[in-house]
Amino acid sequence: MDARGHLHVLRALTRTEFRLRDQGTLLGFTWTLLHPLLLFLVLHTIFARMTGSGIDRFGAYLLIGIAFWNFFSSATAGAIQIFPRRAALIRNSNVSRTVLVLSGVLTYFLSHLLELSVLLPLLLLLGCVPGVHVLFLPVVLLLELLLVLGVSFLLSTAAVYFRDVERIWSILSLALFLMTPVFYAYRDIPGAQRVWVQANPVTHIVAFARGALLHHEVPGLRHLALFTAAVLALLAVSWALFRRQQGGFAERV
Amino acid sequence: MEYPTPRVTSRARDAPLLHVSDLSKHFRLRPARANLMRSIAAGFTRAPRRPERVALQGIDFALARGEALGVLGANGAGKTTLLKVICGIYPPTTGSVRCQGIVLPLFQWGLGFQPELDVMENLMLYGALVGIPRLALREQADDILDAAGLLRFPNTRVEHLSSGMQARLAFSIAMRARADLLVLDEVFSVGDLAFQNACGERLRGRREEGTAILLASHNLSLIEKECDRVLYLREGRMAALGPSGPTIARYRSDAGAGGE
Repeated sequence: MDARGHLHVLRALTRTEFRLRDQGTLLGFTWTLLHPLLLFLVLHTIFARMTGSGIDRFGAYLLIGIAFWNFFSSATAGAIQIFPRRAALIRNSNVSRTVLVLSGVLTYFLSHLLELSVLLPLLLLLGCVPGVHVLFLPVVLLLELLLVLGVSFLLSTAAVYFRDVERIWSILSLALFLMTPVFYAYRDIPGAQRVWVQANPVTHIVAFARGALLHHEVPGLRHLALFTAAVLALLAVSWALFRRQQGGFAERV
Repeated sequence: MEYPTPRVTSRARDAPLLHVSDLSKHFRLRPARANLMRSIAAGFTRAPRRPERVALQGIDFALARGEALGVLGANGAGKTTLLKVICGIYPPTTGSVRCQGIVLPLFQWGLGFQPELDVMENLMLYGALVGIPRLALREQADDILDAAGLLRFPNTRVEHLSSGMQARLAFSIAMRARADLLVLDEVFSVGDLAFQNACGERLRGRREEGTAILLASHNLSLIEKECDRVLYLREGRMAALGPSGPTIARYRSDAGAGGE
């Protein structure tokens, strides 16, 4: 199949996945928007007077953090299920395994974009008036998409061989959430622990997004270049591992 | 091992589409209870290699454009494994599969169908999966629905169709796919007699257009009717490869003698 054919399959699969998300639930697609909003309400209620007391426009700060964390968290958790969910297709057809991962991640990315389009007006209400720096947002989204793809190639491959990945990732994901300044400020982290928060790539994505939307700033060139290089390196390694292992998926899934 | 020398037709010599040479496939047997810690430990220690099952050994044959080859054998003889290796679903352990064209595996009608979605949405999805371009799918949608007898039901959920109707829909779509080699595994057992006749007729049409067919089935009369040659597999090896009549007769006599 040529590139055009793969694109066609990618489009068809993504469309189907998107149509099927939240199928059977009473609220349907509304859940995609409701989930981050409810998480926002819970975290805002609990942390506004605690960690949030010293943070300027905490509501907007929190909402941006949740939206960008949410895409990372849900898409990577979804990546674990990509092959087990499509086991029959993997065992009985030669549809590109790469396209299956791409369609899984793109489905979540589309939800993320829709979610942002609804959240942006809400951010205005919360005192966040974007300036020209909002033009940097597409770069942040692209970097986050590449990061999620890198993690997803790794997780989806590992999940074919070890069911344990789902459990391990749920704990790791929680640890990453706590290590991301979503409901607290980076400056409040004790010095010794900053290195962990810095090593977490989602920290940087959330900081870039807040810079573009809330703080009217873009990261320094050195910071951006280093982060981009790290994301591309992760993607290259996980993609290479995925390519090496994909031949055995049909026998193992 | 004895088997007749592969009879390569003159057409095959002129334009071979598929070359399978010295193919073998071994499966490493997994323990009943996989264990992450044990797997990690095995990576660090010199754990004995897990036992293997030889599913295919020494498979050699060629297939010409427009030719139909039947694959026969008892359960567990390696028919499905062979077809999956040819389609690139399983990597071969040794040997090679070379195909000068597009291979379309058809192991299950409507593979990838989403029961919650309607006929039209599934038509677009399945059409994409079997490699039909989007524009062609849109143009041919009515013809496909008509051929499947579903012209009046484009918005019906697929889960409300009988399995026979789903098979008809999938078949009507798949037969429009641009493929040089169709690989079919026991897909004629679904559907009524009219469906089976239509399948046979359409396959003959595809062969006239130059599409080659690989067909695994337990239905001997179907294989005899549709295939020029037959590959008879026994315990993963080629027991015979030759014209349909004599090869099927040999398979029959082996099965009757309890050899199978």
